[in-house]
Amino acid sequence: MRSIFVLGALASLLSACGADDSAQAAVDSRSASRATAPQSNSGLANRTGELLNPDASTMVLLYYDLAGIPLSLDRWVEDDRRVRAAAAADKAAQRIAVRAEVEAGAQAVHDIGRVRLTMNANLSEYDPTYGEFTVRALAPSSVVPFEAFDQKVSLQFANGRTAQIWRVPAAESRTIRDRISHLSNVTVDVLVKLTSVRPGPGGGTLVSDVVEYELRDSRSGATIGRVQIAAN
Amino acid sequence: MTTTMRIFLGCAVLIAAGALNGCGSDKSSAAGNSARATSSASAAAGNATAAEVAEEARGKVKCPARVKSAARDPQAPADDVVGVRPGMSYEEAANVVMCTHDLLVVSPETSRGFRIETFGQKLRQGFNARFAADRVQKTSKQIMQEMQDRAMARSSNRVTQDVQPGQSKWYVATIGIPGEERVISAAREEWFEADRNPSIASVEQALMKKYGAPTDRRQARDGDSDLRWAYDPLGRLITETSPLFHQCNGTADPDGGSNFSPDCGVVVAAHIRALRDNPQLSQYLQVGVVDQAAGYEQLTATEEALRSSEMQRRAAQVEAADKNADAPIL
Repeated sequence: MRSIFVLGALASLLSACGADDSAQAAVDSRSASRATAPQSNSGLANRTGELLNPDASTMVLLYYDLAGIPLSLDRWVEDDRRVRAAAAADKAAQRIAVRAEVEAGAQAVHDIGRVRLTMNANLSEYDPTYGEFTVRALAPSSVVPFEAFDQKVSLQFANGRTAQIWRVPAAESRTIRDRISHLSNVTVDVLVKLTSVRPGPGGGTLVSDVVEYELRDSRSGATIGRVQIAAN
Repeated sequence: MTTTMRIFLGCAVLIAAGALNGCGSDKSSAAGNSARATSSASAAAGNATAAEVAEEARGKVKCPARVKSAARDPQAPADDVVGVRPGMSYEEAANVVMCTHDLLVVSPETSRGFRIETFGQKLRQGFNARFAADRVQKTSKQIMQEMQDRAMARSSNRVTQDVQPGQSKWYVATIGIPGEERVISAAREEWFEADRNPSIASVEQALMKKYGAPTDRRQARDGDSDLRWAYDPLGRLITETSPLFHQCNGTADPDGGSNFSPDCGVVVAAHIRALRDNPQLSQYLQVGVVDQAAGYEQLTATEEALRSSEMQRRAAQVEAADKNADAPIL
């Protein structure tokens, strides 16, 4: 049995109900057979664009772009709440507007290779045995979910094993601990570099490497630490 | 905004299969040997001793087992249960298990496993090993009597053991694409011979001699003792100050389930059961090992490989349909 615990709320869901997973998988497989190949790692390395706290629909469009899967534009347009709710006479115009919106969004992610995110750091207590805090938001098990267009896309951290470790000398740890009002109030501003994409049924996974991050106390806004991850 | 991932191996109650299948020591696939053993078992008739039953079911077993899989780094902590460790192939593990006792018979596990989409492919998700028992031809009256006894035991919650003193049982979980399944966890239960029960302290010492200082050690009021050696994915021993201390647990019981989290590394769990009439002596010992991060990775990779192969099959089918399929008559 596989258990997945969803802890976070998802931003702006643009999609409405669609086909079930198995049907979608079949549709995707047909599309994939005629689609361009997913971005190779070297192709991803050439991407210089950066997103700052993107919404779910942008991340889904980025996933489609990287995976080389053609957009299901017709279905997405028809499933859009605005099109469905529009009066019959207005539907055609609404379709054009929604289509243009999605196409513009898809165009905008063509060069994106890096993403900046702000989220709760889920910081651990200090571990004196190894002299470190653990930024559990960047752990290997951590998944940042995005859901839009009836697709579930997640972002994972491939170098999470080491990236989550924030080494701090014992003496300094006390000062840091004093500056944090509560561990749950620590946020992390993280920059990740996309390294690969794993397509799956009804969505897929964007795999990334953490490049750097900054930890802040969300109440005072004070910076607690900055960490640069050494490239492998 | 984050989600955490864990995989749990369902701990379904084992219903011991009657057929005693065997697993070969060679690469000619355990499945082949299992089929042969099953057919010979069904063909076999008449009374037979446990040794004869085991010989029929095991086929040719070469001992000591030859293991080609990468050996453990000598600097790394012990991560095996009587020689079976995560990363071994299904065949190697079955061979090692059967070499631990002449009466042990391996049978593929079919009643529990990981709930993953296999697209109709048959994966070997693990195997059990049990001691062979004497085969006795029974009259219909005897069979009815036994059924009645079992029904009585169930209705009265009578404790029944599937392992006798002096015997052991195993469960080894494997995952991988068909033919390439590898061990991700293993657990063994050993019942000590009556009147030769070792002390709880001596069993603990033996465990600590092999696995080192534990992450955690607990003794229950009834004398039972639990020990755990947990490591993070970087191979560092988890101590009580670690945020992973309460997160990375293992299962010593062969009938139990296992968790797989990419945040945890190898976890060895041991449970020493105390004798009810003398809590300083041990009745049986359970030891289990799991490599959570590697197991999680293998599970994910297997799912992805199966899905990818299915997508390729479907795409090829669509391509063929474009060329050869009938057109509708309109």
